Amino acid sequence: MYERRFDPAASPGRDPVVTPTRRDAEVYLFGKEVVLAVNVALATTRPLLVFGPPGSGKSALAPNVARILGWRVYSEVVTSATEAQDLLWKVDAVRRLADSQIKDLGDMDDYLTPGVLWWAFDPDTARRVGRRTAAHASPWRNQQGPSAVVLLDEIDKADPDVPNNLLVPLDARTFPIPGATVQVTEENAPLIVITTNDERDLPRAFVRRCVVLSLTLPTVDDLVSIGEAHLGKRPGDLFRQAAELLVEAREEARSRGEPGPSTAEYLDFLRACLVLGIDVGGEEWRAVANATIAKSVDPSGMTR
Amino acid sequence: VSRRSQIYLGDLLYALRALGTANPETIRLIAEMLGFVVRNAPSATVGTGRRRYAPPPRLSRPKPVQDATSPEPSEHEVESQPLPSIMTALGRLDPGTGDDAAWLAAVEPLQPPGDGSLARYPPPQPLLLPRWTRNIVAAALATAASSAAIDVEHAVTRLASGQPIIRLPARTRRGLQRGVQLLLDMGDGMTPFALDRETLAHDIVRTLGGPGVRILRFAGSPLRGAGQAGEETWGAFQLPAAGTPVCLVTDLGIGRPPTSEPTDVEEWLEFVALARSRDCPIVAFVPYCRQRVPKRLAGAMHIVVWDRGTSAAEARRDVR
Repeated sequence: MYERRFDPAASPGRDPVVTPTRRDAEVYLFGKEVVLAVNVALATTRPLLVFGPPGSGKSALAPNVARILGWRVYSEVVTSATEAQDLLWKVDAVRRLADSQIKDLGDMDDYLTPGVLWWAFDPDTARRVGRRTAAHASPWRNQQGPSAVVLLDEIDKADPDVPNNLLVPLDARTFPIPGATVQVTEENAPLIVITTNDERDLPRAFVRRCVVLSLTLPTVDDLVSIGEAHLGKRPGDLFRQAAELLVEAREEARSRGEPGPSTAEYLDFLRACLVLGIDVGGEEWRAVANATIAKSVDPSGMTR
Repeated sequence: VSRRSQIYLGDLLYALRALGTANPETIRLIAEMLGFVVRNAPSATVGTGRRRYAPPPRLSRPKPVQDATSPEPSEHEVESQPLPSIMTALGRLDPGTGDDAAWLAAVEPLQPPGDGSLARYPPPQPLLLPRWTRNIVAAALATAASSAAIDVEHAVTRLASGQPIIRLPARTRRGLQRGVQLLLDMGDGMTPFALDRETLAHDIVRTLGGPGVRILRFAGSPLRGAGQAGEETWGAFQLPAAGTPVCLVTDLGIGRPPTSEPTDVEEWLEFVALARSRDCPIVAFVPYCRQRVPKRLAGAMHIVVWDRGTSAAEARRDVR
C-alpha cells in the first residue's frame, strides 16, 4: 500500500481494474506496476520512459492517465525528422518575411508556434502567441486542467541528438523563447510520458533521468478483460477462444521476427463475430480469423 | 530553476516519502523503476542499491593459456614474442603448389571443446570504448541534410544586400536520417576480428535503428559480390540510394594472410569511384592504425581507426 496521487480505482464510477467508457481510446487496463510507475514519476517529477512491444499499450497510457487525473494532454509523434526544437517552439520565418515585404510586420510572438512542452509548461502564454500562424486554431487552446500529461511517442525514431537536446528543458522545466522564458513550477510540473519501441538505444544520460516502465503484451486473461471492458460481458467463451487464437498467432509471428496481431485486431475479431452472430469454431469463425487476425501473420491463411 | 542531475538516491528517498510506503516489494519495484537494483530483495535497504544503467564493468583482457610454471608475460612481452611456428609456416606457403600444402589436408581438425571450457573466458574487449561507441558511430555516419527550418540569417543577408530570394535557403543539419548501407568484410584478413565485426554491426544497428541499416557481406571487395546471407547467395553489388552513406567494416586487405587472394588498391579505388558516382560517402572502420592504410585509400575514403583511442570527435573530424 502507498499513497497514490494517481489512482484509477478511485476514479468515480469506474471499474477498479479497467476503466471502460464508450470510446475505445478510453479503455485501458491499468496493472499494478503501471499505476506504481505513474505515481513514482509524479512523486519525483521525472519523465516516465515506457518500453514495450507494439500493442502493449505504451501510447494509450498518457491520454488515459490525463483523463483520470483531469489534466490536459498533449502528444507528439516523433519521427526521424523531428528536432528537439520542434517540441519547444517554431517560428514561421516565411510568413514573417512575406509580411515584412508588404510592410505588415507583426510582433515576433505572432509568428511563433508553441510546441507540446510550451503548451504543457505554460498554456496561458501559448494561447497568446501565434496569431499569424496555424497555432491560433490549435485544438489545444481549449483544454483545461491544473497540469498536463505530455506524450512523446516513439522517441527512438529520432536522431540520437534529440533526447540529449531535451535534457535541459525536461530537467530544468524551463526553456527560452524569443525575448522571454517559458517555465513551470514543480507543483504544476507536467507528467512527461516518453515511449520507445527500443529500435535503437537511447543515450544513457537520458535514460538515467527517467523512471523506467516496461510493458508486456497482454495475456489471454488481459485480453478477455479488455474485450469485456469494450464490449461488455457475454455468455459463452468467445472472448477467451479469440484471445487464445490471437496469442498463438502472435507467438508464431514473433518466432519469425515479425510483429504479431495487436489488441485492436482482437477487438475487430470480437466485433465481427458479435455483429455477424458467428459461433466459435465454425468455418465462418476461421474466415473471420483470417480476415482480422491472421492478415498480419500469414497471408496464405490460417489453418486452425 | 536549475538543471537537475541524473536520478540519484535522493529521487528514491523522495519517491518513498511521497508515496509513504513501507512494503518491501513496493520499495523494490520503485527502486527498479528509478534504475536501481536491489541485491537482497525483499529486505531492501536503500544503501545497497546499484544503478541498473551503470556502464558495464571493464572487461579484463583474456589471459593467454600458459604453462603454470612459467611466469605470466606482460602485455608488451606477449606482443614482442616471436610468431608461433604455424604462422611462419603459413607465411612460407605458396597457394599455387599443392605439394607444399598437402600436409595441411592431412591434419586432423581439433574437436570443438565440449566441456564448456570456452565459457570460462570473458568475451573479448570491444575495439571501441563501449561508453563512446554510440557517439562514435553517430558522429561517423551522420550526413548533412536540409532541414525544414529556414536559414533566416542567409535570407536576411541576401535581402539586406538587395538580392532577390529565388529559393528559400534551408538550414542543414547533420543526422542519421539517411540510414546506412553496412558492408561487412568476411574475408580472411578479418578472421581475427570476426567477433568484433559482429559486435560493431550490432552497435551500428542499435544506434541507427534496424530499418535504417541494410547489411551486406562481402569478401575482399564488394565489387566481387555481396549479399545478405551466406556467400553462396551473393550477387552483384548494388549501391544504396543516392546520398546514403556506405559503411565498410574491413581491414582493406591490410591483414590478409599470404594465402588469400590479394585486394589491391586499384580495386578499392574503383569501388570508391562507383560510390562517388551516386554521392554515397564512404566511411571505413579499419582495425589497424592509420599509418598502415595505403595513402591513396586514406585520401579516398573516410577512415575511422577502429581502436580504443578513437573518440567521437575524431570520428566526426574524419568525415569530410
